[in-house]
Amino acid sequence: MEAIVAAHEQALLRYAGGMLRNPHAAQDAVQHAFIKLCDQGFPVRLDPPALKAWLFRTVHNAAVDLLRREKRLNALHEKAAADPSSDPPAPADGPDRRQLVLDCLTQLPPGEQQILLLRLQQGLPYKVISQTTGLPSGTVGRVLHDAVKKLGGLIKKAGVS
Amino acid sequence: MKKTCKEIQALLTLHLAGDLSPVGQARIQKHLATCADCQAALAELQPAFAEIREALAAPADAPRLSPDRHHRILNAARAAAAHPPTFADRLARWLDAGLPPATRYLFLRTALPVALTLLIVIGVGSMMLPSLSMSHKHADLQVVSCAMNSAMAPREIEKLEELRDVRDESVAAPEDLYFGGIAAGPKKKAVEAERPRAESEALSKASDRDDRSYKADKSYEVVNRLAQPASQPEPAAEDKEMALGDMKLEESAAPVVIGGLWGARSAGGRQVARKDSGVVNSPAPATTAPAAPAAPAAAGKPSSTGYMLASDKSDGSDRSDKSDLSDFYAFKSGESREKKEHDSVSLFRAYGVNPTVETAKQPFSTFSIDVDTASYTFTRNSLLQGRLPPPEAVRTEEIVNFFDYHYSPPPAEALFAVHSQCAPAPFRPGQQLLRIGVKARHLGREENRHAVLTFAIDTSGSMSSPERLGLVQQALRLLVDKLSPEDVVGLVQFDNHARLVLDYTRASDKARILKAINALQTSGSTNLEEGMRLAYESARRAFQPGAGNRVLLLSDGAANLGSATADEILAVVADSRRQGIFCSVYGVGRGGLNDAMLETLANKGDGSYVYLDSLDEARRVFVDDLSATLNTVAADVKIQVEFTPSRVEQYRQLGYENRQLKKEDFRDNAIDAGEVGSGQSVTALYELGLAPGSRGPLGVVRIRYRDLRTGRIEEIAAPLAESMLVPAFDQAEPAFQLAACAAEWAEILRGSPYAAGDEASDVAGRLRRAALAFALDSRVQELLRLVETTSQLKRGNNE
Repeated sequence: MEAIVAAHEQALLRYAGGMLRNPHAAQDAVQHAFIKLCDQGFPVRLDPPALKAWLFRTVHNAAVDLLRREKRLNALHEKAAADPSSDPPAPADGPDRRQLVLDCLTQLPPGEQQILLLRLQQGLPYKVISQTTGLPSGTVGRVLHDAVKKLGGLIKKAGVS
Repeated sequence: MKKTCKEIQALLTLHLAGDLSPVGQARIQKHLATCADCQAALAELQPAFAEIREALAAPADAPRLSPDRHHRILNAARAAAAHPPTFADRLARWLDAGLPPATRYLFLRTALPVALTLLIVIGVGSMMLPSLSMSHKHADLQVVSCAMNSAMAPREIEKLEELRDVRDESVAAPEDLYFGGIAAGPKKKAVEAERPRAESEALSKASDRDDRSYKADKSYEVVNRLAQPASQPEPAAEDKEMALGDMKLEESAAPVVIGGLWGARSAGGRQVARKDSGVVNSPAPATTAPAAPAAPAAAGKPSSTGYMLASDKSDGSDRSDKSDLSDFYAFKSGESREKKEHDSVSLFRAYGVNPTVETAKQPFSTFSIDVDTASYTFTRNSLLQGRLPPPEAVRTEEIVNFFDYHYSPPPAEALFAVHSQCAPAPFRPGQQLLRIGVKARHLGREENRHAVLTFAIDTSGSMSSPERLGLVQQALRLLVDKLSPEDVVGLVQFDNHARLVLDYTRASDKARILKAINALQTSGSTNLEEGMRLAYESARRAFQPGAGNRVLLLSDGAANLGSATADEILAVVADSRRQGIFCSVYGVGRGGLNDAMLETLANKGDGSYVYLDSLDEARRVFVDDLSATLNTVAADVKIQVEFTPSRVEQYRQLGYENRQLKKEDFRDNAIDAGEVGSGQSVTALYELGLAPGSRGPLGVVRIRYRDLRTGRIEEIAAPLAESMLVPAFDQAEPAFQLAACAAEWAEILRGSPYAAGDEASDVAGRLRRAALAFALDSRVQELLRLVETTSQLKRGNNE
């Protein structure tokens, strides 16, 4: 088990970090996935592609759940505080630019985030991605393209404003 | 916009990501050359894509789970191992997710309705049977419901049982009459199957008397009968079968299957528990016992045995979807699950244990020399963390060879000296222990060739922790400090891709080398193949005849890009290797360490394999023993021991399982074998059964090697003379005693059937005396502590 954790924790944490933008929440999601793996008595065959697909899928679902809960909480908070949204981010470059990309990424629908992260952050092959998402690999390519285009648009908009 | 343009533009991202097939790529390029629209689209997409890719792929600060989370996960794992999921859990989950959708649909839509219909038909059928009285039917239903109860709710049954106990006194006599033979075995099944009928007749009589309480008693008794075995699953199934059999249920196969699975599961559970406790001295350890008979075959042809590599598809864990069902049932047995876990996670290869050989049948024992020490450091690392190492991680010869036995160097101009000694085997009464020590000449300072070193450094994400890349960097800093000024160093770094980050630089330019070392950063995957390819290519470019040309791989071996087996990687670099470029492999990190691959890589790549578990070990390898590491004096070193059949009746070699050669390989110069560095020594141990009353030499040791100074193949022979026999173990030289203890410790740790029942505490006792002679050797003192730790760990596990 320890070996499984050591082999996958970093990739999973980066993945969850990409979706959640909050290190603690990301750790929660990854921990949840590993514990689920134990509790279910290893419901997946332990060869790396299948295990990887299972882990990424579980972390993704956990992250989406967390996001939903967060959104609900945020909605409550906003109602209570009636807080005007924060300042628009200033156009930037260098590391801030990277931050901007990552911020924009969270505005995409989860499915597109998932594929972008799996392909471009994790460098997983299409076969594993389609195992993770349940989409045929042709569709993965199309979603990837849509996601890149959409994200490009978002970045441009955010960069200009 | 034309239709083709639309299609092409939808593919542009994949084009940029390099994910298209070569054909598709060519098609797009062709189109782009002619279409301005698409060019514009590409130009628009490109910067955005580059930015996104960079942002995502940028090395995040490689987070890890916090320690408390680690702790929680491991606790969950432990809890899960302690309480394997029940059959019902698994069935539910299997229905839920384990099946491919089509099969699940089929099961739910067909199998379940069919089963239900069958049940109804049988129920109605039994009601129609005129021979059965009403009360009999009633009893049958009771039996069925009890059977279900016994499977579902043991607690309720206990309650009923209590009730029964209260009423016991009043109806003791009829019970004895009807249930005297409950404990009968399966032979009496037919008789017992009749019994419930008799019982139901009694019930009907009871109902005639309208004695309701008596009837209730009887049904409690039935409940009790079924509940008894609830704690012993197998009999429970049998009882159920009997009860149902009375119902004229022809499909009695169903309960049998359940019973079989149940039994398998409980057996599997025991298996897991035993493995978890890590008791390796049980009479026939599961991991090694089956391997032992296969050892001669596996040892004779090491390259043909399967790797325990994650990527290897031949081990049967990669089954087609069709066999999902059988897979599910296979999962039931904890053993197969355990095995899968081992296959994909621990990445060690089990070679079995050398068997005892009758000298009359095969007087020759031939093997390749092996100076690796990785297994010892890995074992040490495990024990220091309070765990026994996995048995297949323990290679006896690597543990024995870790120690310095102070063999005296060979006389001038000879390359090897042989030091043999034989004494009664301390841990195998009635047998002799033969030690053959081979010591290579220590090259003088002027003889040292200068080195051309190419470091291949794994900087994938998995390396990013202080005990991995951090240790590698520290080790390299130590090494650079020790190099002589004319040595040359190049640095290849690989993760997703390989690149030469430091072109060949003289060691005198320390600042520049250190700068390159300090700049190493981790990210991405592990493309070991490309890393090794580039390292060898660079080494070939920088090749200097007469120098020590060497590639040093530092990795955790968790390769996941490119081809990932040692043989494939070596096939890629085969030409450079033949040119005389040696290879040293340094493993770091525990989790996911691909021990099997790194070992094979070093073995086939003309080099040694060392596991760096600490800075101390790095210091030993790169500072203290640097001369031995860098200056190989002899290559393809093979040893052949020929025993005299009249003197030695049988022998067994300890360790070297994966270095065994065939007798005729000894003189076959094309056969690859081990390398020996300057001043290095190698120790081989045999357990001998001597012919009683015989005298004379035990045999001959031959060493065949390629002298790297001259390039010639040479062969030397040394007799195993009578004079080397020592009458008692305590009179043997301390080095002999040390080697015997180290080997026995390794045999215990790896669960060798020959060491079954032996205790590490006995080894500690012997070693304590032997270690007195090595008071200044910290390695021996450490071994003593480790052996003591082992005996404590094992005691802890046995409790």
